[in-house]
Amino acid sequence: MTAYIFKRVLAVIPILIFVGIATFSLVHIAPGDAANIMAGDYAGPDDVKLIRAELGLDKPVATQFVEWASRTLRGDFGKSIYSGRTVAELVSQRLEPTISLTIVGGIFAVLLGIPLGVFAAWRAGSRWDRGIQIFAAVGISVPGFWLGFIFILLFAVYFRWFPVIGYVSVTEDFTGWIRSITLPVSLLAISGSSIIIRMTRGSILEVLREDFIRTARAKGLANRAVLFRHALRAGAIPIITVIGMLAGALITGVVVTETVFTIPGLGRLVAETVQNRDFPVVQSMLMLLASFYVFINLMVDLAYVFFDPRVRL
Amino acid sequence: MTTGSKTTVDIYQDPPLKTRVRKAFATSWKTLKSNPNLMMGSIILTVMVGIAILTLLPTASTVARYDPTELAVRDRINGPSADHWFGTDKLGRDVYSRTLHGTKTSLYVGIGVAFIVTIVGVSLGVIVGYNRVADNIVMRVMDGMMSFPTLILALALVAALGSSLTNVILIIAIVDTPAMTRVVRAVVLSLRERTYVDAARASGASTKRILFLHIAPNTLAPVIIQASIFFGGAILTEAALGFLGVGTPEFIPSWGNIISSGREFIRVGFWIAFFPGVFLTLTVFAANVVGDGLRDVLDPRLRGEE
Repeated sequence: MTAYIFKRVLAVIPILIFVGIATFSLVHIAPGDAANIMAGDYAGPDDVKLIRAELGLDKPVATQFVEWASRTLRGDFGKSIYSGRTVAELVSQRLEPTISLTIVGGIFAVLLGIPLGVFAAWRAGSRWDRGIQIFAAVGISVPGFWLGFIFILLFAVYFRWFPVIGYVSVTEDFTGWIRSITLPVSLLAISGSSIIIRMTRGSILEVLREDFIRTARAKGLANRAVLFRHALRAGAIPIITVIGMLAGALITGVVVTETVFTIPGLGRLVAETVQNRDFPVVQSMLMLLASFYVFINLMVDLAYVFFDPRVRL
Repeated sequence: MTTGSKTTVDIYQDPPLKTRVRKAFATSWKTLKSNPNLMMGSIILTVMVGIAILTLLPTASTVARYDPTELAVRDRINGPSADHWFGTDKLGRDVYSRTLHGTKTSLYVGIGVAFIVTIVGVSLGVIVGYNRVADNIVMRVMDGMMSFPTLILALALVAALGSSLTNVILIIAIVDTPAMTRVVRAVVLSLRERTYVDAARASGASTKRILFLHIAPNTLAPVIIQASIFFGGAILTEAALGFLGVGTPEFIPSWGNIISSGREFIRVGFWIAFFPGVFLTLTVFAANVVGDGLRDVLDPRLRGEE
């Protein structure tokens, strides 16, 4: 078991190195000169030279990589070309809305998705099952930005129940915070739970076909005991995988959601800096979000150890 | 993939092409009739393909009624009417016409991505499934690529490469390839242990022959299912990039950039973003439903159950 954990943690290192190289290469795969692109159409040659020096693009590639990697490892992510502020500053300012949205959205996605998925599998073929499946199919198909638009139109513009845009800090005004995150969180919860429903339903259905479930039934166990004591425990493993997928869906969802509701979070930061081609910030965000995603998936894999005795061997 | 005992006859003598085509149609029709979801999804997709083809041909103006780029500043942000079924946008362009022309863009992206990902993913998957060395190298790179959340990687690539329509297709294809490769690899790994592969090898078939004649065709079912899901996913991603303002450039109408342009007019012109969104949702929904339906039909593990 210790050996497995050790091996799995070590496997993260090459992945992070790959992430680092890919992130670094971003500036260099840009056709032409990244400094030119960033400077925009109206820049003179001096501006371009300045940006090039700022990014260190005037040095050999190998030197650039070593410098960039050592800076990044020390936690120095550089400065925004556009606003001149440090990435650390930008990120820390925009952290709170994103954390609120993803945590609350993720909790609701799980609370909604797992019970509905289990129920659909348990009553497979019934009207309930069909209804839940349609909800999930629509949930993964409807684009978040369009559904968000409809939400704003309906609940903010027409009924005026919620603010149209913006974010209120939780420390500032608690009810204001709840009002400001209700619509965005609903969006994240709908798309997140749809993914979880589909995965949960599939894995529980598969478990319910196993011989040991038939054995449990044959020895006269009540339906409920079969479901909770036997099926759920065996079905838990693929469901944990979903939590990793959920992390990916939330990161993606938050970019779109924050843009729809004009919430000044990390997702909005990503979208803005990509539009401005603010490479130092884009690179840092790519690095940060990918590391976070790798970390979540590591946690998911380690969670297997506790749920699946087969992995421990 | 073969069903029933009739196929044993086919080995000795192929029936004429006409009979085979008719039989294939009959089987497909039966499958569609027995699976209402698959039927519904196929109908929606067929309609969308029809719209795309009609707007490509010189008939475009009779179907779309207006030129999607024609400006009429005096008629800007007018609600749906008999003249402009879906209203007009901030420059007085007809939203109905733009939405219909956007179908073309979205399908182009969906089909392009599904096609590229299938070709690259199947080739890589078959090779790495059969070669340890290649497996180690290629799959490490794929793992690395999959450690990026997909939309974030797509956004970063757009920042670097710029956002022409071709780039959008290439970028989404790059982002999707690792998942397809993984699926194909898993299938190949299980197929290579099958008795019929041993039999082929025993009868002297070369590795190349086994790979492309015996293994690759049998990855077809999971590949088709994946491709239909990537088709819908690519349309959704293209629209998301367009919405974020970094997708297909505005002179090519796409559902994503029409919705994006309607965002600021939510109070005075909801129709600009509403109608293309309906088309987008329907298409992605249809693609997903077709993917699920194909899984039910093609996955032999599920076939016996229903």
